[in-house]
Amino acid sequence: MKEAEKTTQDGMPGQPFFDYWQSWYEKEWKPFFNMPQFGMTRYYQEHTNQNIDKYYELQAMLTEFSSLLCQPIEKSFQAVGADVFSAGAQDGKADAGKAYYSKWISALEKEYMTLFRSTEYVGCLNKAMKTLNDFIISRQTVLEDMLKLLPIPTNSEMDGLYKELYELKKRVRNLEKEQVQQ
Amino acid sequence: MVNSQTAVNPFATRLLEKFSHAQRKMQDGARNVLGSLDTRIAATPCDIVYTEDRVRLKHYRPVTPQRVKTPVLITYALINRETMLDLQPGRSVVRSFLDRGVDVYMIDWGTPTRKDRYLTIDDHVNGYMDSMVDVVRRRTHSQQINLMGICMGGTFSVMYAAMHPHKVKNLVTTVSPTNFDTEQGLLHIWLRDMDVDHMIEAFGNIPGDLLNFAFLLLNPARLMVDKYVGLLDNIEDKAFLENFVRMEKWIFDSPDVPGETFRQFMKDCYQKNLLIKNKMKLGDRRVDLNNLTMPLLNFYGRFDHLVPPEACERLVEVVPSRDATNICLDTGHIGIYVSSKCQKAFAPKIVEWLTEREMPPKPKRKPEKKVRAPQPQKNLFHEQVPMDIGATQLGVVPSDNPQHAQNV
Repeated sequence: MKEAEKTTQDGMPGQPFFDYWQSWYEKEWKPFFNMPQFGMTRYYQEHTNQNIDKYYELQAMLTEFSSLLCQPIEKSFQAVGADVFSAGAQDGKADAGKAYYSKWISALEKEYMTLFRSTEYVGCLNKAMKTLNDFIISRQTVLEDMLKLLPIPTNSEMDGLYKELYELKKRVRNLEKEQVQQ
Repeated sequence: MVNSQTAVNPFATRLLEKFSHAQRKMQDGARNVLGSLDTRIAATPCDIVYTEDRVRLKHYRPVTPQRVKTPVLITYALINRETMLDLQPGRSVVRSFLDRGVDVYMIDWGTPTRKDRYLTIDDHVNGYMDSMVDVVRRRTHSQQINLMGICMGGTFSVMYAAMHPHKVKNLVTTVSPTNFDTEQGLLHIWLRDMDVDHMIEAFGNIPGDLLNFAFLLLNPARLMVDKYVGLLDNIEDKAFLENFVRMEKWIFDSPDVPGETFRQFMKDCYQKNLLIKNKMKLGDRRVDLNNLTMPLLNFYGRFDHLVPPEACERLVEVVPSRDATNICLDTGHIGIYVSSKCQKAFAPKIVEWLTEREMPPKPKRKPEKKVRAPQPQKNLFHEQVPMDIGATQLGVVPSDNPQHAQNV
């Protein structure tokens, strides 16, 4: 836990906490959601467990991503805060708000631009997208399991149909073009 | 005691003034918001002259006698909608064209649904676009049309013109990415290692909201905070509010992007940069930029954070056309179409450029500086237009890229 409380100078502050959280989840909880299932309902249970697992991973990743996105806000306030307090102590200008806001928004923009070009951010964005995609795919599988019991076509079934329709239309178009050329 | 009062009172007085000013402003703002606002967009009258699946072809009703004989077909991107070119009466590219006697057609890509997820770039370019071009040619009895592309629609237009050069008289690309190997834009950095296949597997079509969120993230300080502070600052101004709502309407009206099209655009363009290398394939045919011998006018914005100058400006260097011009405007991605300062430097310039090319071809003369070895073709202009000269004449700041400077 001591590791988790540290903040790094170069990397993301708070990263050790997220790493610790991740390893704790992987060690203590993840195995439960990935243990083999038995019996006739094994596939359904497996899909549901997978979905819960992916949901937790997504929540952890979104927290990490949001925390990264909040960093520039903190940094920009720090950068402008000192100015505001020192100037405020000298004279209480009622119309200084606009100037401070303008300074702050420029500082915020600059901080975001620095963050968005960093490898930490690009890595975190890719990880966030991966966990989001994993969760959506797994949720889709669970939903399709449920829909099997109802007279409602699933996305996979409709996709198959759309694919056939697409290919048929393309063939008809090509044939029409050939006919016109002849 | 007296001293402290004199020190506090001016401050308190000014503070009270500020509060009462803010109160008045909010009252006026509330009256505006609750009152009747004219926030219609895309109000210029048009007719739907052709429909294929979800895609429609709009023809704008002329308002003056036609002065540019060859019709213009505008191809918008699959991201957001073409209504941006006709956002409000005073700042409408479409209206500007019509006022100057241009016959304007525009492709409306419609709203893709899940059934469109298998549509590729080939289907859009060689399918829908080609059909629309043929319809315009038939309706206007023209052999060729003027093709104008916006953003991704400009990239599609480049592909189309390269694959059907005999149908395109002049090509106008605006903020259109063709060179994706750049670090100037954040999108280029973020998308380089993105697992696009995984995204398509999860989403099918890429949701417009996801794209909107990505675009907001490009500059959250300005797009998520400052923009709305600006709105509060000007909320008592009815005209400002109406324009603001128009822009909000347009910017958050984002259709989904068909999955296969997105996949190919990301992988072949953003990740492998195949288009500018002449290696991109649509279906089983290669997109050969060496076919771009027609006159080309390429606009881009110096402060464009979505499609940075480096992503646009190389096109004129790689095409064999000897009439290829870059114009860099001091604005951003959207400002080029809607900002008041660009209203004179954008649409009128395009009309002027097209009008010049309506005239019979001038006698061939030796070019001052070649971009690439010329490939003479019949019925094409061979006049070398130095880059950025048009922009300078118009008072628009030309590109400061050294490669351009040497061409001026």
